[in-house]
Amino acid sequence: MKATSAHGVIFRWLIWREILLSWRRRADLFSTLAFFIVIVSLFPLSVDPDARLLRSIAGGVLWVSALLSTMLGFHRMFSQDFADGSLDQLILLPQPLFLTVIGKVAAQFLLLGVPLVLISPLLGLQYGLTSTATLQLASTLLLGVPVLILLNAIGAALTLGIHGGGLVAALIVLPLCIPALVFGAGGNISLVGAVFALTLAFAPPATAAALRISLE
Amino acid sequence: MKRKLRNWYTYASPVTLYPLVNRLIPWFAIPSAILFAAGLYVGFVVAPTDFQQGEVYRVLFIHVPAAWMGMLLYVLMSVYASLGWAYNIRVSSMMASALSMTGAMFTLISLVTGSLWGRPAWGTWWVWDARMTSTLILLFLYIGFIVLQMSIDDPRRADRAGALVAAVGLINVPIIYMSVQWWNTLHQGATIRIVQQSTIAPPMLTALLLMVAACWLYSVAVVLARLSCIMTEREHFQVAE
Amino acid sequence: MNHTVYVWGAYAVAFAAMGIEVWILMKRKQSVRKPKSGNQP
Repeated sequence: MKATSAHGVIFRWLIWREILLSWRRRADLFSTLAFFIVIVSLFPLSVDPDARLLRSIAGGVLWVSALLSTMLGFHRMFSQDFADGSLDQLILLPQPLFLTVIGKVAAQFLLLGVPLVLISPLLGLQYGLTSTATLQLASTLLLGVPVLILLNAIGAALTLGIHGGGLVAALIVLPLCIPALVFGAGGNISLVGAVFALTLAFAPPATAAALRISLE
Repeated sequence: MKRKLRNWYTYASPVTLYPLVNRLIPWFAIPSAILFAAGLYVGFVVAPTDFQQGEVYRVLFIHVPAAWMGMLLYVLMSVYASLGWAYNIRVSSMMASALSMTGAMFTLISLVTGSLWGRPAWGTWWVWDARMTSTLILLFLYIGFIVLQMSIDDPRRADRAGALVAAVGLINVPIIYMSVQWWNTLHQGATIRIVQQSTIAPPMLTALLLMVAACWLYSVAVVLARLSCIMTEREHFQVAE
Repeated sequence: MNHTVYVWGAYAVAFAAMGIEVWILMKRKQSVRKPKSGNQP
C-alpha cells in the first residue's frame, strides 16, 4: 500500500519536473508548434488548391506534419538530463525505469502534444474539412501523437550523445510510426487506439532498455 | 556427451571460430555458383512461356528469392543480435552486423527487379501494393539498423543498440504489414498481384527452388566472409597467412 | 514490345549487386590483412 503511493508521488513529481523544465525552454515548444503549422500550410501551396483535392489529402498532410514535428522536437528528449547528470539519477529512482519514461512522455504530451491536437481543427479549416471529418482527424491525432512521442523516445534514448543523432533517430523511428500514420490518416480511430495500447505496452520498456544501453 | 557440448561452446570465441569460418566459405560459395547456373538454365531454357505474361515472368526467378532472402535474413539478424545482447556473446552480435548488409542488398534487389517486372507487365514502374510497400519498409528497417551501428563508436554499445532496434523492428513487422494491407484494401483500385497464383508448371517451381537455394548458399558464404572481416577488425588477433 | 530488355536488366542489376558485394568484401579482407603485422598494441 505504501509502496504504491510512493510510486504515485514519484510519478507525479516527475511529470511536474518535466513540465517545469520544458516550460523554461518554452521556445523549443513554440517553435515545434510553429513548424507544424507552417508545414501544414505549405502543402496547399505546392499543389493545386482544389477543394476536393485538399479535403482528400488533409488527413495525410496533417498526420505527416505531426510526425515530422514530433520527430523534430523529441530527439533531444533525454539529452538535457544526460548533459547535466540527472539522467543517471532518474535511473536510480526507486521506481521502474519504464514508469519514469512514461512520466516523461506524458509530460511532453501535455506540453506539446495537446496544443498540437488543439490546433489541428483550425488547420482542418484550411483544408475545407467538414466538422465531422475535423473531429475524426483530431481524435486520431489525440490518440496518435502519444504513439509518436513514445516511439520517438526509443530513438532519442538509443542515439544519446551521438553526433547527428537526430537523423539516425528519425531513420529508426519512422518505419515504426507507419502503422499509426496509416491508421490515423485513414481516419480509423479504433485502430489508432489499438496501436496506442500496444505501443504503450512495449515502447517504455524498450526505451528503458535503450537508456541503459546508452549509458553503459 | 559433456565433451561434445564443451566443443560447441568454444566456437563462441572468435579465435576458435575464425579458422572454421574461413574453411567453410568455399563450401558454400562454389555450390551456390553451381545452383545459380542450374537455376538459370531451368528457368530460361526448360520452363515454358507463360501464356499470360510471355517471357517477362522469368524475372520471378530472381525477384522472389531475393524477397525471401531479404525477409529471412532480417529475422536471422534480429535473432543473432538478441542472443548476442541477452547472453553477451560478441560473435553473435558480429554475425548480426554481418547479416545486415546482405539482407539490405537482397531487399533492394527485390525492389528493383519487382519494379522492372511491373513496368512491362502492368505498365507502371512502381505498384503500391501491400507486398512491395512492405518490402520498401523492410529496407528502411535495415537502413536504420545499419546507420545506427555505423554512428556509434563503441562496438559493444553498437551491438546492443542494434539488437534493440532489430528486436523492435521484428516485433513491428507484422503490425506494419497489417497496416499496409489495411491501407491497400482501403484504396484499392484494380486488384494487382505481383506473383500470379495461376498454375505453376513444375519446371518453374524447380527453377524457383534452385534459385532460392542458390541465394541462400550465396548469403551464407558472403555473410561468413563478412563475419571473418568483422572478427579480424574488432578482435585484433593475428591473421595467419 | 521488346520485353526481354526488362528481364535482362533485372538479372543484370541483381548479379551486378551481388558481384559488387563480393568485390567490396574481397577488398575489405585484403585491407584487413595488410597492416596486421605492424598493429601490435
